[in-house]
Amino acid sequence: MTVLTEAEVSKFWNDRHQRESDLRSGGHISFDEATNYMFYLRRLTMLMDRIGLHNSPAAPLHLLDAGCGKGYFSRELAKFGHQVDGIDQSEAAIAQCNDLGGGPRYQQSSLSGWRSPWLYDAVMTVDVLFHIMDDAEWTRSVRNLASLVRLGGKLIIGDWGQDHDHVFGSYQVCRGRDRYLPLLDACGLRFDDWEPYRFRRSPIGFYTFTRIG
Amino acid sequence: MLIRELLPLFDDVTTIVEVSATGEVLREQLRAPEETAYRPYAPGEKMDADTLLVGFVGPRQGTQVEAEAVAPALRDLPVGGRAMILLGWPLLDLPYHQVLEELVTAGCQVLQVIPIDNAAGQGAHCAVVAARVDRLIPLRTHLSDAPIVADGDEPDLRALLRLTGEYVFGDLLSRPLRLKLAEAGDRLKEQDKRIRQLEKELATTVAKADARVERARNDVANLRASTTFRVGNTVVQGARKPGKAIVSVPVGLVRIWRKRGAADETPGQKI
Repeated sequence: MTVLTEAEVSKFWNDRHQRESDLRSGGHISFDEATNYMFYLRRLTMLMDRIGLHNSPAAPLHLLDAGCGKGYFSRELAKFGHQVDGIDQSEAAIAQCNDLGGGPRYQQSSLSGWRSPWLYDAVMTVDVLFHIMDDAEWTRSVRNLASLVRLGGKLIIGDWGQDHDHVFGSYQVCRGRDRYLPLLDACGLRFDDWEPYRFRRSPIGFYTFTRIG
Repeated sequence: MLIRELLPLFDDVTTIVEVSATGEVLREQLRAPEETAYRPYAPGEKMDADTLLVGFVGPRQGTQVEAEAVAPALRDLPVGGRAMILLGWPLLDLPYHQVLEELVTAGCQVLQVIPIDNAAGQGAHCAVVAARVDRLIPLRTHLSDAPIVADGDEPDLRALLRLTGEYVFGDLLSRPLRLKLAEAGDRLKEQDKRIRQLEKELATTVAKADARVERARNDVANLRASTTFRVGNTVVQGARKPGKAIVSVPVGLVRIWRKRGAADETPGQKI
């Protein structure tokens, strides 16, 4: 099957965010809204395991939700007291995020193009990188997100855990563990683990990396 | 510090290698001495310790480059080799993460980041001074304008404890400041939104008032053009000057009668 071009993918997501319901638009298109709600909760719980269960109103954690879609994770993490920046390339998704509010600050940006004067305690990109079709853009995106993680901070990536790439459909290119680990090791990030979502036979899970250098 | 004051901070520089492509612009801004060779970076070239690598990283396409474009040259620096990278972003919005990534990956230590005066004209807001190292070397401070060397004594344990301690406390203090800044940004955004809304409401109110004034002007014009007004006006003028009224009133009435067609053609509502 031929995969979509970057421009086609961008249009696809913008249209999908306008067309589909809140969770289905950024979640799993095959699941209904209720199932997607469970899926979101499962991943949110896994994010909590990685980000930790502490917060401080005076000295909050600063998080980046890269590819935030309509902002579910950003809003939920902001409810925990964290300061969250959400970025997404879709104008429609960011417009909806801004309408919903809820604490996070949103900007329209690609993953490779986000520039910040601040580093983050944790950068997460939940099921977004495998929708970047172009390998060079994928590399730029991963390296840019890594560069935004502070010393001791975490980079959390949703993708599959196998040792090779795999194409699902026309708009999903999963990169293998053999691509993530060397790339991020060279960026000074230590691989902690990969844990599958264990949700309805999904092959995807979270990679967790910690900046050590 | 002015941009032309940067090069004198480096001792024993015989060659300057530029990794960005500003042509002669950066050379002129730096006021590179005639006796110092100045050339563009050639990938894979060997540089010695007397070479200073310079580059201009920033958002302006053409004269400024992305951080990753500087990476190969940084890796070609020998241990002890120095680099000065000008950054084209304002300090308050400085996205240093990519430059830092490339520096650390290439084994370079950031010694100092120097703010530059007159940034608006030259586009350089600060200069990152770094050196390729195989051990930690002392940081420079904002108080120092001594020559930049890459071979100082390695910081002892006390200095490292100070360094990490300052980092930890600096990090703690930066969190509420970052929060305050974000909240101030939110307030500013909200105020901007409110101002735009008020401007819109004001424009609508002014437009409505203008329309009312225009309607009132038309009404007055129609009133003045009406036969009723003119007959009344002739009679009133006659009453004011009774001596002339015996002539002026009949003449005025006849004139109104003669021009009745023209009066009827007056645009607007007849009264």
